[in-house]
Amino acid sequence: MRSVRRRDWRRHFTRLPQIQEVAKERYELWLRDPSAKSLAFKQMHYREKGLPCYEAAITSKYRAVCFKDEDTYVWHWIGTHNTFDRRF
Amino acid sequence: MVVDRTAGTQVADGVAESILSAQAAGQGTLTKIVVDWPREAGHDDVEPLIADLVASFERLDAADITIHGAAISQNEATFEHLEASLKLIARYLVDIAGRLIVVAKRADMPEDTYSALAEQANDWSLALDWTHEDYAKSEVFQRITADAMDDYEAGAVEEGGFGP
Repeated sequence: MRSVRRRDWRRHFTRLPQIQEVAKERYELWLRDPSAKSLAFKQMHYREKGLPCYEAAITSKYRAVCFKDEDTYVWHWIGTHNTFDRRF
Repeated sequence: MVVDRTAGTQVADGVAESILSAQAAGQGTLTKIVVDWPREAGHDDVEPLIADLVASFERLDAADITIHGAAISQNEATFEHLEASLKLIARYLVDIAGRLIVVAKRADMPEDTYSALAEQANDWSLALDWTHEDYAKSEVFQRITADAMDDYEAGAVEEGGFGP
C-alpha cells in the first residue's frame, strides 16, 4: 500500500492548528490499523472518474478524505463539512 | 504494543470531567433560556448566553480532540463511551444554539455578535448528521475531488502523511 497527499495539503493543514497534533497521530494509526474503530475509515458511496473515495475521522468534527488508485491512497482534503454545506 | 492503562485512565477521567463541564454549561444555558424565554429578550439578555454557549462549544472541541488522541482512541470501549457522551452533549448544544440564534435575530442583534456561535453550531450539526451519501450530493466536494485527481494525474502529489 502506498499513501501520498495532494501537493496543496500543507495549505489546508496550516489553517487547522488546533488539530495538527491529533491528525498526525490519526495518520500513524491509519498506517498501522486502517480498520481501527475510532478512525471510521470507510469507502463512500461516491466515485470520481471511476475511483473510489474514502473518509477517515480525525475527530468527530474533522475528517480527512482520499481516493484510491490501485494500491495508492491519495489524501486530498482535511477539514469540517462546513466546506460543503451550511445550516446556520 | 504496550498500553499504559494508568495514563489512559487518567486522561479518560480528565476528558470525562471536560465533557461533564461542557454538559453542565450547556444545561445551565438551557435553564437560563427556559427561565428567561417568556419575556422580551434584549441584547443584554442574549449576549451572555451566546458567550456561555461559545465557551461550551470550545470545551466540547477540546474534549473531542482529546478522546481521538492515541491514549484514549486505542481503547475501544472507553472511546465509544466517551464519543457517545460527547455527541449527546453536542446535540444539546446545537439545539440550544439554533434557538439562541433565532432569539438574537428577533432582537435585531448584529450578525457579528452570533456568527461565531453559528459557525460552531454548523460544524457540529454537520459532524453529527453528515453521511457518506452527502458527499455525493455536494458539488463543492465533487469539484475538490475532480481537481485533486487532475493534480494526481499530473504528478502533483507528495509523501508526508497528515503532517505539515
